Amino acid sequence: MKSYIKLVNFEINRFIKIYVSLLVITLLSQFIGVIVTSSSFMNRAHEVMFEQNLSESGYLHKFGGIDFTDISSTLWFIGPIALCIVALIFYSFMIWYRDWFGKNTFAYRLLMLPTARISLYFSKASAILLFTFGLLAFQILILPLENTLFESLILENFLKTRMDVSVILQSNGILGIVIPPYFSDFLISYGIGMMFVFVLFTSILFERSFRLKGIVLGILYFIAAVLLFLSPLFAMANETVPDLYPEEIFALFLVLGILITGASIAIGNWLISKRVLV
Amino acid sequence: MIEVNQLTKKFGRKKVLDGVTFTANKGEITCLIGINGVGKTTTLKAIMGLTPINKGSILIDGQKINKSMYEKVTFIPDAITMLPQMTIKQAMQFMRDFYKNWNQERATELLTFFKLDEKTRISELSKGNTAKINLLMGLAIDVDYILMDEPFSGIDIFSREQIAEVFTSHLIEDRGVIITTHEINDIEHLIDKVILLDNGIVLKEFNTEQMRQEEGKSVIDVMREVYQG
Amino acid sequence: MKQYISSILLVCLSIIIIGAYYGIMIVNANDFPEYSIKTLEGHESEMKDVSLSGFVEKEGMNTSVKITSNETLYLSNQSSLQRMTVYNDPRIEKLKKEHRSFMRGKNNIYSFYQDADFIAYAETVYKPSSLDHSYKYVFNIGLLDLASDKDISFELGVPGEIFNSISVLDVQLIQSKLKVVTKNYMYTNTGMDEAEVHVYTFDLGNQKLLNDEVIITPQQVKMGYDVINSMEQNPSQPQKSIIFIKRPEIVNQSEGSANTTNKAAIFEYVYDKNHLKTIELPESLTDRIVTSQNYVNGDKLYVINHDAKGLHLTTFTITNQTITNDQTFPIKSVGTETFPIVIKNDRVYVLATNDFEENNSSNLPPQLFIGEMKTGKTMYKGEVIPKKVDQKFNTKSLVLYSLEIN
Repeated sequence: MKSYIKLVNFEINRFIKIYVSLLVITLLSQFIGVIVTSSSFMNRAHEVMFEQNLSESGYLHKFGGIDFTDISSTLWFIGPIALCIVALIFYSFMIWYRDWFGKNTFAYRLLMLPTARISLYFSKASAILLFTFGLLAFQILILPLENTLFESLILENFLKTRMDVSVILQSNGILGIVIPPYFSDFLISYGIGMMFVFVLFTSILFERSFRLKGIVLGILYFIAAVLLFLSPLFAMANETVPDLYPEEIFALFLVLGILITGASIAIGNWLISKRVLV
Repeated sequence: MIEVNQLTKKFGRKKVLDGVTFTANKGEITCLIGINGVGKTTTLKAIMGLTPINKGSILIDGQKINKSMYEKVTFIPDAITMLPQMTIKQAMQFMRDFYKNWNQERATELLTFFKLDEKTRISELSKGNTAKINLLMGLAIDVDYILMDEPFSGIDIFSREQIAEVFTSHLIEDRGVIITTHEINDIEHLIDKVILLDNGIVLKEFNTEQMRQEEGKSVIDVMREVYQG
Repeated sequence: MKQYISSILLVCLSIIIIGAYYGIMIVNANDFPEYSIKTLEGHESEMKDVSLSGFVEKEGMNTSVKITSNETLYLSNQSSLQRMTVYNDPRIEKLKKEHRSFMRGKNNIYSFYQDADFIAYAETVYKPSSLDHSYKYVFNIGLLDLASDKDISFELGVPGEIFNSISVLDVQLIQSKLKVVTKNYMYTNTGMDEAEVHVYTFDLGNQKLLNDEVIITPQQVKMGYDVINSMEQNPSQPQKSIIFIKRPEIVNQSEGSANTTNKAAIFEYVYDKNHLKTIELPESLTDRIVTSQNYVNGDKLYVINHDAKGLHLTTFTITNQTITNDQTFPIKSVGTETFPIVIKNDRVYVLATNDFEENNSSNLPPQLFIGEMKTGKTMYKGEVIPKKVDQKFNTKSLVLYSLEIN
């Protein structure tokens, strides 16, 4: 346990610089987005009012006001979120391969630590989970600040509706998925997410253990896990399978999820303790 | 005692090790010599559990390799195992964090002996100094056995001398060492036992002292006989 | 300790911020008003079995709510698992509990027939045929024998031409034959609906279609023939007949063609007689029935209108073609909207709702009215109001649209 915590800490420290850069990029991009979008809206509104000789209420009647959804749908806002998602997916691969590739084969050291090797597997998975949660927390933290800034930049009358953080999150497609409104949905989403991290790790370990043959095995394992997890959906489309009740489908997904996660960890444990090559 | 028994390892269809059997004792320096091929490094990796084996068994003081063995036996590969962005100090801290039997005193002693500054980053070290730090990371753990893969290859003469000097010091004394090399010159006078490998099989295993006394042959003489004769 | 600072910060901030966020969300989700039905007139015991459904609007989002005499139940307070089933019809949920295996994949309450011995089910499904993969409608038929707990189910193609859509109007089990009444829509080039009403008769034992009869032709549908639904409360009860109404045609005055049949009329299709028979309507009903809310329950036809005096409810008994009850209940009409109404055990339950439309000027809370059918007496009158005054919610925040008597 102690060495697991040390390993998690070690993984976090190794990535923290890139991670902080991601946070800074998100912060800058979203704040710039708020400023640019709202000031260009106000400028245009004043221009149009001047050109068409409209009053404030005349303009609002004709063109309508603005609310935070106009901000949260811009590339300034969505872009860094997408970047963070891509970076974390990339990191899920890098967290293993950087130990093997490069001038110094750090994998030697890690595999020779006097601790169960599965700790490595768990520490890497935990690091990914923590970084993910950190990004969510950061977004939740800066959103009200952005909202306040936005409301201060827009003249009161031009503001369509005041929105609080939960409304902003739910009104935005990508944010609504990343930070679901219900905690149970949050657990389900990130439970599924973690399951796929384990499946991916085990696929990577297949490759690291059997190299060329392992690439095939790894890809097959990944596809098999995805298909197995989605099998209730195929079953529902199949005529010969009796219709299932929603709670049964949920239970099926839950059991499959636990099964796939368990199998991935068990196979991963075997690979990393017995088969992995340096 | 490290016992390697009928060790067989295949890469694809090719057998790189085919029934390799030898022992290495505590307090002795055992040298795995091979002119070519990958068998030597693979043997060390197999002992450390860093590559699965196809057949045979490896016992360290009667036990199979497991996580607690990594506090009993250490492996110094031919490249450094620390991250390039770490300073020597951070690298030592890392070892200290994970190994109960890390010996900071000995690490400091080695650092002084090699005349290295702990604030230097690994990536800034010369080839010779990298090899020294690599050696330091292995030697500063209080283990019974040390496995070294080609510690002298590709480094300058002065570094070689310094490293060789370590072998005669109290830093090694009662430990068991397995060392692989293809150049015997630097260490011939240090080694107690030689295993000559070729094409995955053990051609000859002998005690250097005994060979010198009974047959009057040096290691090189025997190598010449075995590989060329 | 210094080397752990990043990890500690990351872990703590994540837990605190995400925890706080969901904490606030949970508090917010519970931050909905409790409603009660405040008695204005009559005795509370009258409304103890009533439950009202609708939604409460908060910050542009709607949350489903169910209000009974003693509790206010919000959907958002429930776990994901509960949310999966709670949208389902409670009548379906009840059947599901009792006959889990038979009820698989059966969701439409209008497709059921229930009596003391059997539950029957008939729906139409649009699916590719196994032969040439062309899409076609098929019947999905099921029958559960309650005594033996044995069930049969089979699939049969809908005969005849290819229909655009088919909706099941009624399912009845008459002398161990299954009668399925459907409204079948045809493909048209004009964009106008063209439809006909069929009665399909199935032999359940041999799993065969015995008869396919068109009882309302496309011409008749065009002329304004339509089905009168059974009382919402119980669409799957045994009925020996199905009632159709013919509303008057809208005559194009410029053509000047005299139309003598331009009057409302009622038709009864008796299942075991296999024919459509005209029911004579008293003069007083022929005009009213054009705009009224109509329901059939057994052999009773309820004709409901709003007029100046209130809610005018007339019971017309089909078997002897006479008006057997005629009452006006003092319920204020806001507009021309139809109220959810349930008639049960000599009581009429009316949910006088506030309007769904935004421009509704009335600011009245939804009202529950219970009247005695026989005497026309008001038994109960109450309004649905929040227990505590909350600035975030006004009377328009609560929209109720259905009423159930348990």
